[in-house]
Amino acid sequence: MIKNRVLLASIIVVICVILGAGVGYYTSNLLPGEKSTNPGIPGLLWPAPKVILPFAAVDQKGKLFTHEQLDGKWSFLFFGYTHCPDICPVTMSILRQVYENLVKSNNAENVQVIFISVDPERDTPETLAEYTAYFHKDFIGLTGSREQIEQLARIIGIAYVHGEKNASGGYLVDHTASIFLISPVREWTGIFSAPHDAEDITRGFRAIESFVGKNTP
Amino acid sequence: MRTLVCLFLLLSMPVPRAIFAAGPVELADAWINEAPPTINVHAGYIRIKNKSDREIRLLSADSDAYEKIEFHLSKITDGIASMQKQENITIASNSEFAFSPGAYHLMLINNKRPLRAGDSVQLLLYFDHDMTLQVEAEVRKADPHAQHHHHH
Repeated sequence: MIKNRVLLASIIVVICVILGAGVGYYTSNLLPGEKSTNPGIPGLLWPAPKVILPFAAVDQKGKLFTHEQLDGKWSFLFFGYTHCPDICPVTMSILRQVYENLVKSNNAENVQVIFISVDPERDTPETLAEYTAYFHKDFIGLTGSREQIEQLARIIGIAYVHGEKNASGGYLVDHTASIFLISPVREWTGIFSAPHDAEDITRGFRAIESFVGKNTP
Repeated sequence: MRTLVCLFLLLSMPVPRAIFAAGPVELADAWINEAPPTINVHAGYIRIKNKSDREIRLLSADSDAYEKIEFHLSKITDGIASMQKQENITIASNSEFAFSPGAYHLMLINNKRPLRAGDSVQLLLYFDHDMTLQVEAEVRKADPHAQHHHHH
């Protein structure tokens, strides 16, 4: 009789553990390092977002900017150059609209927008300071030595190609048109491909932020 | 009478080619995207309507506010944005050609004076058949909403 009760109690404990584990799994109490499947949010890079490796660059104030400054914030990265008259200002205006949308809904304190120059020779910190502030006072501009920018491009995995110089010394740069979203734990979690739309990106960001928040152990 | 008008036009214009205010080609919505003060390469946009039965080519453009004007096409191929210089622009008969953000644009190089939103710039467009058109382009801030209407 006592033996039976012990057996029954054991069975109940086992069932509870199994149920508990199941409930835990479905409320996404994932084990460290474990990631849930991609629910099909557009632009979400999941379940294997790439970790952003260490880098160093120079910001628009002439100060050192490293990977550590990506920690704790959602970062929108856009690669471009200030001598790009058409696509870059259009994209920057869209990012301003996205940022203003997030400011309005009090979502912006943990968000930063970073313009990374693929033309560090012409884009000095002073040029970038004026360029980024023109679009929004909070925007960050990154430049650096040619090696630093090449390293940063390699880390993200983007391509850019400098064209030949013309008679007056001007040149064009081909560069990725996408906007990259880096999570507060420095993982490349989202990509917004061109053509861009501010409302699409705002919605996409909110969906990704909320999903990653619920699915990060 | 026709000769007289032509003679009058030729005498009144400082440039060797005739400038037509109206005719087979109409220009509309000319504007320049305002840029931060340190940026000396701007993009200009315009709509060109060819009302004639023959193809017309835009050969070059000029402005007293810029050192040089080129025609460029922005393209995004496999996620890479690039610009391609166009030697000239062909406008088919009875059709409209639009320079617009993210596509064909006038690349306005090295402004000779500061340009802010609200300023206006004279552009001269040189077409084949010896035709030159003058247009005033307004400098203004781009509105990202204006280019993407598919949600509204």
